[in-house]
Amino acid sequence: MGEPLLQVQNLCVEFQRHAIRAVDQVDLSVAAGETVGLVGESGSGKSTLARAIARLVPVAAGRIVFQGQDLLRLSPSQLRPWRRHVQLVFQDPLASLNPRMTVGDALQEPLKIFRPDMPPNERRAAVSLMLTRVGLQAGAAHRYPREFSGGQCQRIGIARAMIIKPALLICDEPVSSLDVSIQGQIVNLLLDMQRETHAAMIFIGHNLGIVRHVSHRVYVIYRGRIVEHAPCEELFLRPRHPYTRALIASIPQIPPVAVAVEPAVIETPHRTGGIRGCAFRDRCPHAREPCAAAAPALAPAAAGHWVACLRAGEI
Amino acid sequence: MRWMSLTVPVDHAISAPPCLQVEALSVRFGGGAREIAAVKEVSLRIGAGECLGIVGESGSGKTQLFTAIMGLLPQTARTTGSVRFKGGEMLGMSPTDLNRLRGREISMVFQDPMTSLTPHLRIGTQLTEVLMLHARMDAAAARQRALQMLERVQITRAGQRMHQYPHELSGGMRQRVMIAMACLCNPSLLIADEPTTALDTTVQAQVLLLLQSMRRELGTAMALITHDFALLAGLADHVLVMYAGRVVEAACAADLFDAPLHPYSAGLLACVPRWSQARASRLPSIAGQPPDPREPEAGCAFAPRCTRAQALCSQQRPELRLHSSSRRVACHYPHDHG
Repeated sequence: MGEPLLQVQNLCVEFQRHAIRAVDQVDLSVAAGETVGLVGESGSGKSTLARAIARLVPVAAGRIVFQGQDLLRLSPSQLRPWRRHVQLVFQDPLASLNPRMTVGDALQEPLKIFRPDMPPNERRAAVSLMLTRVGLQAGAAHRYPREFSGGQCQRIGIARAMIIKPALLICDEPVSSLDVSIQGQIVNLLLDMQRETHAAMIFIGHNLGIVRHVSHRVYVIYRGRIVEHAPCEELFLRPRHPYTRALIASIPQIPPVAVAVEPAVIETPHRTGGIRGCAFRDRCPHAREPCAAAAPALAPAAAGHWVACLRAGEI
Repeated sequence: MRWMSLTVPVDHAISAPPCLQVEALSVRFGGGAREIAAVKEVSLRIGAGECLGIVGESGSGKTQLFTAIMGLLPQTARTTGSVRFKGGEMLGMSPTDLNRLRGREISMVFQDPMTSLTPHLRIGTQLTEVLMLHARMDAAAARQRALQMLERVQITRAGQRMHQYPHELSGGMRQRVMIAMACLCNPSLLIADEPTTALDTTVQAQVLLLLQSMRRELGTAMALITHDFALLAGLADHVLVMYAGRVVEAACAADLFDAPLHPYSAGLLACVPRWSQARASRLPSIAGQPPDPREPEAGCAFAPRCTRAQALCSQQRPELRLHSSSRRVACHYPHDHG
């Protein structure tokens, strides 16, 4: 896929007050135009990782190299022009729009900030064009977010993120709060927009069926660490990590399939340095004594397929 | 790891006496020109120990239907029709009698366990309160039973959890506490409204299995309300598909999954990603939006989104009628699988 657009190296995010390491030594790369899926349960650190990449949460250590520039070395004022290249779409479309701003104003705002030279009539034209592009009427500009359904609000969220043509779009569970019947519409819209603008995408989700549909490559994150990553079909057809297998097995299907039930429950995120050995071992059916000794590092399992499990070769 | 199957053979106890029988239930809000009909002439039947799945999008009236059945709608709502629980009429029942029924005979599990648990009371207090109120148990017996139930829903260190507050538990654990609470008094009917929507798929699978085993072991009848067809597979005996306040298809689950008759049921089923299928270029969805409930009803409510619609559909509303021995569908041009 050529030179990566984004290269994250050894990224750590800590929440000091709770002494929690939410993201732990993560390496991740995204090529231009590529869609990278990021999957894991609640509390696995996937949203925190995304927010760290967008420079919305403080980073404890590591590098975020975007278009050759380490974003962590930039001062807030130097960072500002970079922000237009990384945009986010959130899970709750209504909560992420200002309820007191018309949709038109909400869409004009990024243009005012990042394209201050743009004349107001051009700006309004760009907004109308964008609204029609995401499947809404141009008249929607004069209405308020609460007048729209969840699916329509998510269309507005996508329009707002795409209007300044970012190089990287981060979608954090963009369809999880929508009806199953509407999810497909929004995912198809995202894919169409991506095809038109060649933007790269990080797609976070816990519905693996949808992540499989949109992604070129997929990273699996567990308690702040990447435990497996591979090209999409390779990961879903030949998952190596027991956690990935459990995630895939838990997808509800018709006809129903046998489900591997994890006996343990999700504990709160681990404290810094408090974890020894593989973080998944207390839920893992294949855990053996060596798993408690040291956290396994990511190792190649096949072409482009990396897995952090001591027993990946034998299970 | 234990391997369990979500497919469990179910006795299709068609002849069992109905636990819940609803006839032509309608719910309206507001009046005059601003009247909104949220539920329109819905009839359903849940036999003892049976599981009925109710599927539909947001705004289809599935939640309002069961809120009305439980008598939990605000005063401004007007409910008509008949709701009989074990033969006794529930509509118009006195609040005292209703309260006796709810909690002991009928219980509910809601989507968001955080808002349905009292935030400032310990888990143990909330559980024992139910038993002391509804089953007239003394504190020690109630505590014993609560502990048993927490272990029953696979909550680890149950004794310790009794002293914790809801916010100290994870989402999945809170939902299991809710299920434990709902099952404390061995209810005859459990109503679960999107019980797993807020949960991870791994936890969702556990909660579904838990509901299934509760049903098998305690013989509880269930109504499972969801927007996701896939959750009903292996759990529901019968399924009602709701659209814009009406039942558009009613069938036994196996028939419906095999061969949906209503274009809306077929569309919803197509939205479930099939693991066995290769990746398609487009994700299936149903075009358009559900209708605005304030708009007057003309013809079939699904017609504007329907790929099979013809001129008749926008003029005349199709009645729910018998299609074959066990299936009903409200469509002028249903899918023909023959």
